[in-house]
Amino acid sequence: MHDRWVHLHPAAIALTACAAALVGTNGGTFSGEVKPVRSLNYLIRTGLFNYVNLPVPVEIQEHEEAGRFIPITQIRSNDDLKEAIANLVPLLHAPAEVADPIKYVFSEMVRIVLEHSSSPVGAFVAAQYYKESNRIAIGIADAGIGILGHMERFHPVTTHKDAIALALQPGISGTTSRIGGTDFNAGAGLFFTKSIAAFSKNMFLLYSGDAAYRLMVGAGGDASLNPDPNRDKHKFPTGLPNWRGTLIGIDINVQQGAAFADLLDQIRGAYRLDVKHRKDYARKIRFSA
Amino acid sequence: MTTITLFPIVGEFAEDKDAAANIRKTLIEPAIAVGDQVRLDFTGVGLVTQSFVHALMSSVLRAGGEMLENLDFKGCVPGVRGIIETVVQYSLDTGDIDSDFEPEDAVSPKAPSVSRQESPKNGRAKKPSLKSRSIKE
Repeated sequence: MHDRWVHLHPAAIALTACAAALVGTNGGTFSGEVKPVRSLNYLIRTGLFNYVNLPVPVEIQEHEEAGRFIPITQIRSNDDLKEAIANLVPLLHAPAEVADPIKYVFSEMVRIVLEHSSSPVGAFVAAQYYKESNRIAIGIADAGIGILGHMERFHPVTTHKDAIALALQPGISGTTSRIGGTDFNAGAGLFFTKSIAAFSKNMFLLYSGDAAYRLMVGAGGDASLNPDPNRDKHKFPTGLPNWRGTLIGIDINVQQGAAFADLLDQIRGAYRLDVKHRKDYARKIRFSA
Repeated sequence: MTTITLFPIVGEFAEDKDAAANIRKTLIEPAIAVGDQVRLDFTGVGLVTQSFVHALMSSVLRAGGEMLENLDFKGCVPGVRGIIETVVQYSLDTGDIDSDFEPEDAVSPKAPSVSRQESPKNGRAKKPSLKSRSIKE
Protein backbone atom coordinates (compact mmCIF):
# COMPACT_ATOMS: atom_id res chain seq x y z
CA MET A 1 0.00 0.00 0.00
CA HIS A 2 1.24 3.45 -0.87
CA ASP A 3 2.02 5.68 2.10
CA ARG A 4 -0.13 8.56 0.87
CA TRP A 5 -2.19 7.65 -2.18
CA VAL A 6 -4.91 5.18 -1.48
CA HIS A 7 -8.08 4.81 -3.45
CA LEU A 8 -10.85 2.54 -2.31
CA HIS A 9 -13.92 1.66 -4.34
CA PRO A 10 -17.08 1.70 -2.22
CA ALA A 11 -17.19 -2.08 -2.64
CA ALA A 12 -13.89 -2.35 -0.77
CA ILE A 13 -15.16 0.01 1.91
CA ALA A 14 -18.41 -1.92 2.31
CA LEU A 15 -16.52 -5.22 2.46
CA THR A 16 -14.08 -3.91 5.06
CA ALA A 17 -16.86 -2.59 7.26
CA CYS A 18 -18.80 -5.83 6.88
CA ALA A 19 -15.78 -7.94 7.82
CA ALA A 20 -15.07 -5.67 10.76
CA ALA A 21 -18.65 -5.93 11.97
CA LEU A 22 -18.41 -9.70 11.76
CA VAL A 23 -15.21 -9.65 13.78
CA GLY A 24 -16.87 -7.45 16.37
CA THR A 25 -19.96 -9.66 16.50
CA ASN A 26 -17.77 -12.70 17.08
CA GLY A 27 -15.81 -11.01 19.86
CA GLY A 28 -12.65 -10.53 17.88
CA THR A 29 -10.14 -7.74 18.29
CA PHE A 30 -8.35 -5.42 15.89
CA SER A 31 -4.68 -4.69 15.57
CA GLY A 32 -2.83 -2.55 13.09
CA GLU A 33 -1.83 0.96 12.20
CA VAL A 34 -3.87 3.57 10.38
CA LYS A 35 -1.57 5.58 8.19
CA PRO A 36 -2.27 9.25 7.44
CA VAL A 37 -3.06 8.72 3.78
CA ARG A 38 -4.70 11.52 1.81
CA SER A 39 -7.99 9.71 1.68
CA LEU A 40 -8.13 9.10 5.42
CA ASN A 41 -10.46 12.02 6.02
CA TYR A 42 -12.84 10.58 3.48
CA LEU A 43 -12.60 7.12 5.06
CA ILE A 44 -13.38 8.59 8.44
CA ARG A 45 -16.36 10.43 7.05
CA THR A 46 -17.71 7.25 5.47
CA GLY A 47 -17.95 5.85 8.99
CA LEU A 48 -15.46 3.05 8.34
CA PHE A 49 -13.86 3.43 11.74
CA ASN A 50 -17.18 2.98 13.46
CA TYR A 51 -16.66 -0.68 12.56
CA VAL A 52 -12.87 -0.96 12.29
CA ASN A 53 -11.88 -0.41 15.88
CA LEU A 54 -8.46 1.15 15.41
CA PRO A 55 -7.16 4.53 16.56
CA VAL A 56 -6.93 7.07 13.76
CA PRO A 57 -4.40 9.93 13.64
CA VAL A 58 -5.78 12.98 15.40
CA GLU A 59 -4.35 15.49 12.96
CA ILE A 60 -5.22 15.09 9.35
CA GLN A 61 -2.89 17.21 7.29
CA GLU A 62 -4.60 17.25 3.96
CA HIS A 63 -8.19 16.95 2.92
CA GLU A 64 -9.09 15.08 -0.19
CA GLU A 65 -12.00 16.28 -2.27
CA ALA A 66 -14.28 13.37 -1.68
CA GLY A 67 -17.26 14.55 -3.68
CA ARG A 68 -20.67 13.27 -2.80
CA PHE A 69 -20.93 9.97 -1.09
CA ILE A 70 -23.21 7.84 0.98
CA PRO A 71 -21.67 6.85 4.29
CA ILE A 72 -21.49 3.17 5.14
CA THR A 73 -24.96 2.00 5.98
CA GLN A 74 -25.79 -1.26 7.71
CA ILE A 75 -29.12 -2.67 6.56
CA ARG A 76 -30.75 -5.49 8.46
CA SER A 77 -34.43 -5.14 7.66
CA ASN A 78 -37.02 -4.00 5.17
CA ASP A 79 -37.49 -0.80 7.15
CA ASP A 80 -33.74 -0.13 7.13
CA LEU A 81 -33.77 -0.52 3.35
CA LYS A 82 -36.67 1.86 2.88
CA GLU A 83 -34.95 4.45 5.03
CA ALA A 84 -31.68 4.02 3.14
CA ILE A 85 -33.41 4.47 -0.22
CA ALA A 86 -35.20 7.56 1.06
CA ASN A 87 -31.85 9.02 2.08
CA LEU A 88 -30.07 7.95 -1.07
CA VAL A 89 -31.13 10.41 -3.72
CA PRO A 90 -31.01 13.64 -1.67
CA LEU A 91 -27.44 12.80 -0.70
CA LEU A 92 -26.46 12.45 -4.31
CA HIS A 93 -28.34 15.55 -5.53
CA ALA A 94 -29.19 13.58 -8.63
CA PRO A 95 -32.10 14.21 -11.02
CA ALA A 96 -34.68 11.45 -11.44
CA GLU A 97 -33.29 10.10 -14.70
CA VAL A 98 -29.96 9.61 -13.00
CA ALA A 99 -31.36 8.39 -9.72
CA ASP A 100 -33.66 5.70 -11.13
CA PRO A 101 -31.06 3.08 -12.09
CA ILE A 102 -29.20 3.77 -8.87
CA LYS A 103 -32.28 3.32 -6.71
CA TYR A 104 -33.13 0.24 -8.72
CA VAL A 105 -29.78 -1.46 -8.25
CA PHE A 106 -29.57 -0.44 -4.62
CA SER A 107 -32.96 -1.91 -3.80
CA GLU A 108 -32.62 -5.12 -5.78
CA MET A 109 -29.18 -6.00 -4.52
CA VAL A 110 -29.90 -5.28 -0.87
CA ARG A 111 -33.13 -7.26 -1.06
CA ILE A 112 -31.19 -10.24 -2.39
CA VAL A 113 -28.92 -10.01 0.63
CA LEU A 114 -31.76 -9.65 3.11
CA GLU A 115 -33.74 -12.53 1.64
CA HIS A 116 -31.07 -15.03 0.75
CA SER A 117 -27.73 -14.43 2.45
CA SER A 118 -28.49 -15.29 6.11
CA SER A 119 -25.87 -12.71 6.96
CA PRO A 120 -25.53 -12.26 10.73
CA VAL A 121 -24.61 -8.61 10.23
CA GLY A 122 -27.02 -7.81 7.40
CA ALA A 123 -25.89 -5.87 4.36
CA PHE A 124 -23.31 -3.11 4.26
CA VAL A 125 -23.62 -0.55 1.51
CA ALA A 126 -21.52 2.42 0.46
CA ALA A 127 -21.65 4.67 -2.57
CA GLN A 128 -19.59 7.44 -4.09
CA TYR A 129 -20.18 9.93 -6.87
CA TYR A 130 -17.11 10.68 -8.97
CA LYS A 131 -17.62 14.11 -10.44
CA GLU A 132 -14.93 14.00 -13.11
CA SER A 133 -16.03 10.73 -14.62
CA ASN A 134 -19.71 11.29 -13.87
CA ARG A 135 -20.29 7.91 -12.40
CA ILE A 136 -21.76 6.45 -9.27
CA ALA A 137 -19.97 3.55 -7.63
CA ILE A 138 -21.91 1.32 -5.28
CA GLY A 139 -20.66 -1.47 -3.03
CA ILE A 140 -22.80 -3.99 -1.19
CA ALA A 141 -21.32 -6.65 1.09
CA ASP A 142 -22.68 -9.35 3.35
CA ALA A 143 -21.18 -12.05 5.56
CA GLY A 144 -23.72 -14.74 4.87
CA ILE A 145 -23.70 -18.15 3.26
CA GLY A 146 -22.31 -16.95 -0.05
CA ILE A 147 -23.61 -17.66 -3.51
CA LEU A 148 -22.48 -21.29 -3.48
CA GLY A 149 -24.19 -21.87 -0.14
CA HIS A 150 -27.38 -20.45 -1.57
CA MET A 151 -27.34 -22.03 -5.02
CA GLU A 152 -26.23 -25.53 -4.05
CA ARG A 153 -29.50 -26.22 -2.25
CA PHE A 154 -31.33 -26.60 -5.54
CA HIS A 155 -28.63 -26.74 -8.20
CA PRO A 156 -25.76 -29.17 -8.78
CA VAL A 157 -22.91 -26.72 -8.31
CA THR A 158 -19.85 -27.48 -6.24
CA THR A 159 -17.55 -24.51 -6.81
CA HIS A 160 -17.92 -20.84 -6.08
CA LYS A 161 -17.19 -20.04 -9.71
CA ASP A 162 -19.93 -22.28 -11.06
CA ALA A 163 -22.37 -20.95 -8.49
CA ILE A 164 -21.65 -17.34 -9.47
CA ALA A 165 -22.02 -18.12 -13.17
CA LEU A 166 -25.34 -19.84 -12.52
CA ALA A 167 -26.66 -17.05 -10.31
CA LEU A 168 -26.01 -14.52 -13.06
CA GLN A 169 -28.19 -16.38 -15.55
CA PRO A 170 -31.71 -15.00 -15.85
CA GLY A 171 -34.43 -17.30 -14.61
CA ILE A 172 -32.19 -19.28 -12.26
CA SER A 173 -33.16 -18.83 -8.64
CA GLY A 174 -31.50 -20.28 -5.58
CA THR A 175 -34.94 -20.93 -4.10
CA THR A 176 -36.01 -23.59 -6.58
CA SER A 177 -34.70 -25.76 -9.36
CA ARG A 178 -37.54 -24.58 -11.56
CA ILE A 179 -36.58 -22.40 -14.52
CA GLY A 180 -38.20 -19.01 -14.09
CA GLY A 181 -38.17 -19.15 -10.31
CA THR A 182 -41.12 -19.17 -7.96
CA ASP A 183 -44.04 -16.85 -7.41
CA PHE A 184 -41.80 -14.70 -5.21
CA ASN A 185 -38.36 -15.01 -6.79
CA ALA A 186 -37.64 -14.80 -10.49
CA GLY A 187 -33.89 -15.31 -10.37
CA ALA A 188 -33.39 -12.18 -12.43
CA GLY A 189 -32.01 -9.60 -10.00
CA LEU A 190 -28.32 -10.14 -10.64
CA PHE A 191 -28.87 -10.36 -14.41
CA PHE A 192 -30.70 -7.03 -14.42
CA THR A 193 -27.98 -5.41 -12.35
CA LYS A 194 -25.21 -6.75 -14.54
CA SER A 195 -27.16 -5.51 -17.55
CA ILE A 196 -27.50 -2.00 -16.14
CA ALA A 197 -23.75 -1.89 -15.63
CA ALA A 198 -23.11 -3.24 -19.11
CA PHE A 199 -25.34 -0.72 -20.83
CA SER A 200 -23.71 2.16 -19.03
CA LYS A 201 -20.39 0.58 -20.04
CA ASN A 202 -19.15 0.36 -16.55
CA MET A 203 -17.90 -2.06 -13.96
CA PHE A 204 -19.78 -4.94 -12.39
CA LEU A 205 -18.15 -7.21 -9.84
CA LEU A 206 -19.56 -10.23 -8.06
CA TYR A 207 -17.25 -11.83 -5.50
CA SER A 208 -18.09 -14.81 -3.31
CA GLY A 209 -15.98 -17.56 -1.84
CA ASP A 210 -12.72 -17.72 -3.75
CA ALA A 211 -14.09 -16.49 -7.07
CA ALA A 212 -14.94 -13.11 -8.56
CA TYR A 213 -16.76 -12.34 -11.80
CA ARG A 214 -15.89 -8.99 -13.29
CA LEU A 215 -17.66 -7.66 -16.35
CA MET A 216 -15.16 -5.99 -18.64
CA VAL A 217 -16.99 -3.34 -20.63
CA GLY A 218 -14.94 -0.25 -21.31
CA ALA A 219 -16.06 3.05 -22.81
CA GLY A 220 -15.67 1.75 -26.33
CA GLY A 221 -16.50 -1.83 -25.56
CA ASP A 222 -19.27 -4.11 -26.59
CA ALA A 223 -22.33 -3.60 -24.43
CA SER A 224 -24.22 -6.60 -25.77
CA LEU A 225 -25.73 -8.83 -23.16
CA ASN A 226 -25.76 -12.55 -22.89
CA PRO A 227 -27.81 -14.75 -20.60
CA ASP A 228 -24.67 -16.79 -20.07
CA PRO A 229 -22.22 -14.48 -18.25
CA ASN A 230 -19.31 -16.47 -19.64
CA ARG A 231 -20.16 -15.11 -23.08
CA ASP A 232 -19.76 -11.51 -21.94
CA LYS A 233 -16.32 -9.99 -21.97
CA HIS A 234 -15.18 -10.68 -18.46
CA LYS A 235 -12.56 -11.86 -16.02
CA PHE A 236 -13.34 -14.70 -13.66
CA PRO A 237 -10.39 -15.41 -11.35
CA THR A 238 -10.50 -18.10 -8.69
CA GLY A 239 -8.21 -18.88 -5.78
CA LEU A 240 -8.82 -15.45 -4.30
CA PRO A 241 -8.87 -14.89 -0.54
CA ASN A 242 -11.98 -16.66 0.63
CA TRP A 243 -14.88 -14.43 1.59
CA ARG A 244 -17.70 -16.35 3.22
CA GLY A 245 -20.38 -13.94 2.05
CA THR A 246 -20.90 -11.97 -1.10
CA LEU A 247 -19.62 -8.67 -2.43
CA ILE A 248 -21.23 -6.72 -5.26
CA GLY A 249 -19.60 -3.72 -6.87
CA ILE A 250 -21.19 -1.72 -9.64
CA ASP A 251 -20.44 1.55 -11.39
CA ILE A 252 -23.16 3.43 -13.21
CA ASN A 253 -22.47 6.21 -15.67
CA VAL A 254 -24.78 9.08 -14.76
CA GLN A 255 -24.45 11.00 -18.00
CA GLN A 256 -25.54 8.26 -20.32
CA GLY A 257 -28.01 9.48 -22.89
CA ALA A 258 -30.23 6.47 -22.87
CA ALA A 259 -33.26 6.67 -20.64
CA PHE A 260 -33.83 3.96 -18.10
CA ALA A 261 -36.89 2.80 -20.04
CA ASP A 262 -34.78 2.27 -23.15
CA LEU A 263 -32.30 0.33 -21.10
CA LEU A 264 -35.08 -1.91 -19.83
CA ASP A 265 -36.18 -2.56 -23.40
CA GLN A 266 -32.72 -3.82 -24.20
CA ILE A 267 -32.62 -5.99 -21.12
CA ARG A 268 -35.91 -7.54 -22.14
CA GLY A 269 -34.39 -8.24 -25.52
CA ALA A 270 -31.47 -9.99 -23.89
CA TYR A 271 -33.83 -12.01 -21.72
CA ARG A 272 -35.53 -13.28 -24.82
CA LEU A 273 -32.28 -14.65 -26.11
CA ASP A 274 -32.49 -17.33 -23.50
CA VAL A 275 -36.10 -18.34 -23.88
CA LYS A 276 -37.59 -19.26 -27.23
CA HIS A 277 -41.01 -17.83 -26.66
CA ARG A 278 -43.98 -18.85 -28.70
CA LYS A 279 -45.62 -15.46 -28.74
CA ASP A 280 -44.83 -11.85 -28.16
CA TYR A 281 -46.93 -11.68 -25.03
CA ALA A 282 -45.85 -8.12 -24.23
CA ARG A 283 -47.85 -6.89 -27.22
CA LYS A 284 -51.02 -8.32 -25.70
CA ILE A 285 -50.79 -6.31 -22.51
CA ARG A 286 -53.61 -3.80 -22.06
CA PHE A 287 -52.20 -0.43 -21.04
CA SER A 288 -54.53 2.46 -20.44
CA ALA A 289 -53.93 6.13 -19.72
CA MET B 1 -63.80 -4.42 -12.69
CA THR B 2 -61.68 -4.21 -9.55
CA THR B 3 -59.30 -1.26 -9.54
CA ILE B 4 -56.22 -1.44 -7.33
CA THR B 5 -54.52 1.91 -6.87
CA LEU B 6 -50.91 1.20 -6.03
CA PHE B 7 -49.42 4.59 -5.16
CA PRO B 8 -51.06 4.89 -1.72
CA ILE B 9 -49.75 1.44 -0.87
CA VAL B 10 -46.25 1.41 -2.32
CA GLY B 11 -45.36 5.04 -2.99
CA GLU B 12 -43.36 6.53 -5.86
CA PHE B 13 -40.79 3.72 -5.91
CA ALA B 14 -42.48 0.33 -5.84
CA GLU B 15 -39.81 -2.08 -4.64
CA ASP B 16 -41.25 -3.85 -1.58
CA LYS B 17 -41.80 -7.45 -2.63
CA ASP B 18 -43.64 -8.32 0.54
CA ALA B 19 -46.14 -5.57 -0.16
CA ALA B 20 -46.49 -6.80 -3.73
CA ALA B 21 -47.17 -10.37 -2.64
CA ASN B 22 -49.71 -9.12 -0.13
CA ILE B 23 -51.53 -7.13 -2.82
CA ARG B 24 -51.61 -10.19 -5.02
CA LYS B 25 -52.91 -12.51 -2.35
CA THR B 26 -55.48 -10.17 -0.82
CA LEU B 27 -56.69 -8.19 -3.82
CA ILE B 28 -55.72 -9.60 -7.21
CA GLU B 29 -56.22 -13.32 -6.73
CA PRO B 30 -59.59 -13.03 -4.94
CA ALA B 31 -60.91 -10.76 -7.68
CA ILE B 32 -59.79 -13.08 -10.45
CA ALA B 33 -61.13 -16.08 -8.56
CA VAL B 34 -64.65 -14.71 -8.86
CA GLY B 35 -64.19 -13.88 -12.52
CA ASP B 36 -63.61 -10.18 -12.12
CA GLN B 37 -61.25 -8.14 -14.25
CA VAL B 38 -58.46 -6.29 -12.43
CA ARG B 39 -57.11 -2.86 -13.24
CA LEU B 40 -53.72 -2.12 -11.70
CA ASP B 41 -53.42 1.65 -11.46
CA PHE B 42 -49.78 2.73 -11.40
CA THR B 43 -50.54 6.45 -11.55
CA GLY B 44 -47.97 8.29 -9.46
CA VAL B 45 -45.57 5.35 -9.36
CA GLY B 46 -42.40 6.52 -11.05
CA LEU B 47 -40.28 3.41 -10.78
CA VAL B 48 -40.80 -0.28 -10.08
CA THR B 49 -38.38 -3.13 -9.71
CA GLN B 50 -38.65 -6.36 -11.63
CA SER B 51 -38.83 -8.18 -8.32
CA PHE B 52 -41.85 -6.13 -7.24
CA VAL B 53 -43.78 -6.73 -10.44
CA HIS B 54 -42.83 -10.41 -10.39
CA ALA B 55 -44.16 -10.84 -6.85
CA LEU B 56 -47.24 -8.86 -7.81
CA MET B 57 -48.44 -10.92 -10.73
CA SER B 58 -46.12 -13.62 -12.04
CA SER B 59 -47.98 -16.49 -10.38
CA VAL B 60 -51.29 -15.09 -11.62
CA LEU B 61 -49.99 -15.08 -15.17
CA ARG B 62 -48.51 -18.54 -14.86
CA ALA B 63 -51.90 -19.92 -13.95
CA GLY B 64 -52.64 -19.61 -17.65
CA GLY B 65 -51.90 -17.33 -20.58
CA GLU B 66 -55.51 -16.23 -20.71
CA MET B 67 -55.07 -14.57 -17.32
CA LEU B 68 -53.41 -11.66 -19.07
CA GLU B 69 -56.79 -10.82 -20.57
CA ASN B 70 -58.10 -10.21 -17.07
CA LEU B 71 -55.52 -7.54 -16.30
CA ASP B 72 -55.38 -3.89 -17.28
CA PHE B 73 -52.47 -1.58 -16.47
CA LYS B 74 -53.26 2.08 -16.00
CA GLY B 75 -51.05 5.14 -15.74
CA CYS B 76 -47.72 3.46 -16.46
CA VAL B 77 -44.72 5.67 -17.21
CA PRO B 78 -42.27 4.18 -19.74
CA GLY B 79 -39.95 2.65 -17.14
CA VAL B 80 -42.82 0.97 -15.32
CA ARG B 81 -44.27 -0.21 -18.60
CA GLY B 82 -40.93 -1.71 -19.61
CA ILE B 83 -40.68 -3.75 -16.41
CA ILE B 84 -44.27 -4.99 -16.74
CA GLU B 85 -43.64 -6.08 -20.31
CA THR B 86 -40.51 -7.95 -19.29
CA VAL B 87 -42.19 -9.78 -16.41
CA VAL B 88 -45.24 -10.68 -18.50
CA GLN B 89 -43.03 -12.00 -21.26
CA TYR B 90 -40.83 -14.25 -19.16
CA SER B 91 -43.66 -15.35 -16.89
CA LEU B 92 -45.69 -16.63 -19.81
CA ASP B 93 -42.60 -17.95 -21.59
CA THR B 94 -41.80 -20.14 -18.62
CA GLY B 95 -45.34 -20.69 -17.42
CA ASP B 96 -45.73 -24.15 -18.84
CA ILE B 97 -42.24 -25.56 -18.33
CA ASP B 98 -43.29 -27.39 -15.24
CA SER B 99 -46.96 -26.92 -14.55
CA ASP B 100 -46.91 -28.93 -11.36
CA PHE B 101 -44.15 -27.03 -9.61
CA GLU B 102 -44.60 -26.24 -5.97
CA PRO B 103 -44.63 -22.65 -4.79
CA GLU B 104 -41.56 -21.52 -2.93
CA ASP B 105 -43.03 -21.66 0.52
CA ALA B 106 -43.98 -25.28 -0.03
CA VAL B 107 -40.41 -26.33 -0.83
CA SER B 108 -38.10 -27.40 1.94
CA PRO B 109 -34.62 -25.98 1.30
CA LYS B 110 -33.17 -28.68 3.51
CA ALA B 111 -34.60 -31.47 1.45
CA PRO B 112 -34.28 -30.54 -2.20
CA SER B 113 -33.95 -34.16 -3.24
CA VAL B 114 -37.64 -34.82 -2.73
CA SER B 115 -38.43 -32.72 -5.77
CA ARG B 116 -38.88 -34.58 -9.01
CA GLN B 117 -36.40 -32.31 -10.73
CA GLU B 118 -33.71 -32.96 -8.14
CA SER B 119 -34.06 -36.73 -8.35
CA PRO B 120 -33.38 -37.85 -11.90
CA LYS B 121 -32.55 -41.47 -12.62
CA ASN B 122 -28.83 -41.15 -12.24
CA GLY B 123 -29.18 -39.56 -8.84
CA ARG B 124 -27.70 -36.26 -9.91
CA ALA B 125 -29.62 -33.17 -10.74
CA LYS B 126 -29.22 -31.99 -14.27
CA LYS B 127 -27.34 -28.73 -14.59
CA PRO B 128 -29.66 -26.25 -16.26
CA SER B 129 -27.55 -25.40 -19.26
CA LEU B 130 -28.75 -22.67 -21.55
CA LYS B 131 -29.63 -25.16 -24.23
CA SER B 132 -31.69 -27.33 -21.95
CA ARG B 133 -33.50 -24.32 -20.54
CA SER B 134 -34.99 -23.14 -23.79
CA ILE B 135 -38.63 -23.85 -24.41
CA LYS B 136 -39.14 -25.82 -27.56
CA GLU B 137 -41.63 -24.59 -30.07
